[in-house]
Amino acid sequence: MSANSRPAHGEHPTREALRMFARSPVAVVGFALLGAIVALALLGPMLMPADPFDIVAAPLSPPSFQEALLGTDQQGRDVLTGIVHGGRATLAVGLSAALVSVLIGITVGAIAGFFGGTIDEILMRVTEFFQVLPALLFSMVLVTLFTPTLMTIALSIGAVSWTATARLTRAEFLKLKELDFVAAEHVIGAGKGRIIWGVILPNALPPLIVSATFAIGTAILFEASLSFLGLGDPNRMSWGLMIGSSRSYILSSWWAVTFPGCMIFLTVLAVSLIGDGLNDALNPKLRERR
Amino acid sequence: MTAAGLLRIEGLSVEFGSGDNLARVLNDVAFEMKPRETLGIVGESGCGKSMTALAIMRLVPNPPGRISAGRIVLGGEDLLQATDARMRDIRGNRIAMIFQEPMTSLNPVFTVGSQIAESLTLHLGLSGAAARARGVELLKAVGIPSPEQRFDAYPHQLSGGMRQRVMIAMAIACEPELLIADEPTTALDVTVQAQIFDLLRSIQQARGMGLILITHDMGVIAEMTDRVVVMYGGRVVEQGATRDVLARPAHPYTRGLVACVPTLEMDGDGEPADLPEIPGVVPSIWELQTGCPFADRCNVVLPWCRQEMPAATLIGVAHWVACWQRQEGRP
Amino acid sequence: MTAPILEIKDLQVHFRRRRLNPLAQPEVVRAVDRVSLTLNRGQTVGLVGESGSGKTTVARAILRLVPTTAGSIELDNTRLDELSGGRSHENRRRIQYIFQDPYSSLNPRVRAGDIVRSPLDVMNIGDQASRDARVSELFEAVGLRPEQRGLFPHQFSGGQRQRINIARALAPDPDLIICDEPVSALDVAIRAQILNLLQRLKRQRAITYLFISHDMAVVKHMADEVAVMYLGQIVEKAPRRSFFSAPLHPYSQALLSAVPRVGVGTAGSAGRIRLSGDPPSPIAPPPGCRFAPRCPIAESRCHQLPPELRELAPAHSVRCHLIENRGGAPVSPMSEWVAKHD
Repeated sequence: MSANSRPAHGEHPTREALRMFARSPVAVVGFALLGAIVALALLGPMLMPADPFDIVAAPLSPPSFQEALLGTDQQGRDVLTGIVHGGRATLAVGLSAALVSVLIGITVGAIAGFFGGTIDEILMRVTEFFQVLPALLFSMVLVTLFTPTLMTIALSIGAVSWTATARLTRAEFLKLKELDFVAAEHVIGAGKGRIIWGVILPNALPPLIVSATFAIGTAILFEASLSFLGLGDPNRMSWGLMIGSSRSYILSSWWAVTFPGCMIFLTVLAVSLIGDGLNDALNPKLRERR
Repeated sequence: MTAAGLLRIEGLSVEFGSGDNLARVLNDVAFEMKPRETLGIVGESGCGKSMTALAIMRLVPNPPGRISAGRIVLGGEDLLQATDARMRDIRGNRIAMIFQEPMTSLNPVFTVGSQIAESLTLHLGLSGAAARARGVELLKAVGIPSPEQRFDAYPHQLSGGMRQRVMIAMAIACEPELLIADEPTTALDVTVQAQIFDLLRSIQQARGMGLILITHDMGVIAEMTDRVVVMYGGRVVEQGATRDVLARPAHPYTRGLVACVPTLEMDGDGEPADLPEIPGVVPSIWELQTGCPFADRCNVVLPWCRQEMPAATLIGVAHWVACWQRQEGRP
Repeated sequence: MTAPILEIKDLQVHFRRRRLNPLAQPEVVRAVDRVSLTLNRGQTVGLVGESGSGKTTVARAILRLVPTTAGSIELDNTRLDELSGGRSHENRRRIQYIFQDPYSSLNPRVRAGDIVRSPLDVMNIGDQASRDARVSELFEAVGLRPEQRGLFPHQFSGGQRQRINIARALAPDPDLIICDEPVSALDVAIRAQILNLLQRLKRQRAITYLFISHDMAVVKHMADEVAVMYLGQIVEKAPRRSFFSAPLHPYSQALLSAVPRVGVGTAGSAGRIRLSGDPPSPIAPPPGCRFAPRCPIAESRCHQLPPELRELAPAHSVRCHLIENRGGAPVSPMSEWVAKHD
């Protein structure tokens, strides 16, 4: 009597997945690392209220305990202050760009996969069009068309990176919409909105959450690339901007580029570890192993 | 029992997991087969039918499973003592197996011919034209029309019945002494099922193979088999000549299985009476059990059934049952 | 005879399947070809056939899960195939469906109680409290404990999942339930539990069943009337008693004789009518009788002229050229053929 011997209230699949997630060492390391980075970005500026654009020492001073702990850049700005203050912009762009890309991707993929036919054809051709565009070039065009602010940068990154999510969502919808529990919703007369967003999407979420996590990492790298090419928001300190503005001095003054670079590396690593952990926790095939 | 048996299984036990998570999937399974005999294994899913077949093939998934005790003697050789290399030789050459879903047992990217030829090359050393000729001959033997053309077909181009015929052709390629068929017709329509059983019967008679037929259908058992082994909860609860077991089922589980299925012989007039049910479900293999595994679903349970498993008792000519109702006295 | 609740007339469901070559004419799959069927209130009609016979497509057409190509489906004289909007909602309530696969038919992320409640929520039947009470009542009616409402589908066994399916179908208090192979995915010993439950519910709630199955013995146990489908057409239709005592169509006879029987033993296969080959494709059905290529007694006219469904005995119709009326009773030449070939 499988159900009779168990407690009468079942554990929600999401909670079960979170429990699995918390048990994975890789995921916990990634979560702790990301937590530390987010804490630095949120709390750091309060502890170090200095303006990151202020000149504190001679340009390109090496790291030292007397003047600047992590050195200064070519304009004499403190690298440590820059790292502490630049985290917010980098994380904000990464998160909001990933959000934009996932929202576009899920909407396009869900509609294409659910309705099929001509709608699917059109949406998939549009997706392919965005896929074959060189993403970096296209987002550069978008950013230069508008003023580069955090918002426009996030939107332009999101607008070029949603195609993978759309294809993944469509594939999940194609698979799930044939299952009997979806037919059961048709039988009781449920509307299309309920079936798409309330029935199919929750079942399609596990792989989408994993892909969204990796999208954050990609978006952060994307922001860094744009800033490196001088297309970042010049009025907001970000790790990408720091690397971009000091790129000519990389051979003579390694610190100005290396430290913000390390921060980007650690952030993307943390996000990837979380993604791997989520993948293990949400993958039903792995979950069935006792 | 005769010394010149084909297969003898003694005290076979298979365990999964370890420590607190130990499950006994097979428990003290024992039966014998004579050459040319058809043996049926019947029971619900999760009773150990397929695991018995996998154990005979030494294909119990390891980890987490392992054969923990027993002997499986095929023509005088204990398969549990054989080396892995020897076992690979035995599989295919002396024992062959066909499965429930022929689509998943065939590789979809190769033609059926190339898959037959591969096994001929592997086991008989045939190659090229010789393998093709023998392969076409086999397809013809299993009743596939225009075998020359079908040799070059891909699995998805064949119907379910044709694919199961291909699987049978591959299984009999090396003239095995024993063929194990695990629910070979469950995925097929009833008219095609009849064709496959006709084929298995004629091949068995022509080649003198032993056949183990795993099924949940008592009608199939009645029509196809000489002897039947009824399994429940990883144990053999009753075995004997099919005629005897179906005419005088001794174990309450066997009686339940025979009675709970609607049949065409039932009276067709008026409102049909309720079918006799076996209440409850098969226990999970992870539930630790002492005593008879069927006790919780049994309608004639005795107080001591839950404490000790009854030994198999002889109640007729080679008709054994493991039930306290048929034992003298109590433990 | 009681009044008909559902009348299907000349139903056709054709699917167009595109070919790889975009210029070629799309193939037309004639899944259901001119099927007529009447369901009387409180009775069970068994729809029998092998895979690909179109029996499930008939069911899905009644529920409008697939579009119909031609013909009509009337529920109490209301055309279902032409309805839209609010009127179709009321009719959705009256017809429910029990799926074959108890695993894929329940949303894995929704608790059992909410699954059973969902028809009430979607159709806006009753208020919150009355819906909860109804769910508890339904759990008990199908043999589950109301405390189990909070569990998720994977925490139930196959038989219990099928009970949840039945409870969901019962929730909006339907008049007609379509059972699509409701026990074929279940273990043998569990089938009796579910069949008995369905019979009990029919007696208690005066439900009409359209019972789809490939298992002749189960249909004999459940159905008051039997319709046999082959390749998208009904080939024989009769009350249970007359069908099982004297099946007329060669295909029905072959189907019945293919069932392995416990009582007959190894002799059972001897008198069997053996059909060769598989059913042909519904894309290009044979020009004459669709069963002719596999029929052991087919004559030349069978291969050329499609037979009509003829009523040869009271309420007993057959689609076969070769059945004759001798002395007031229809006689199938198949019986003579079997006698000769034994």
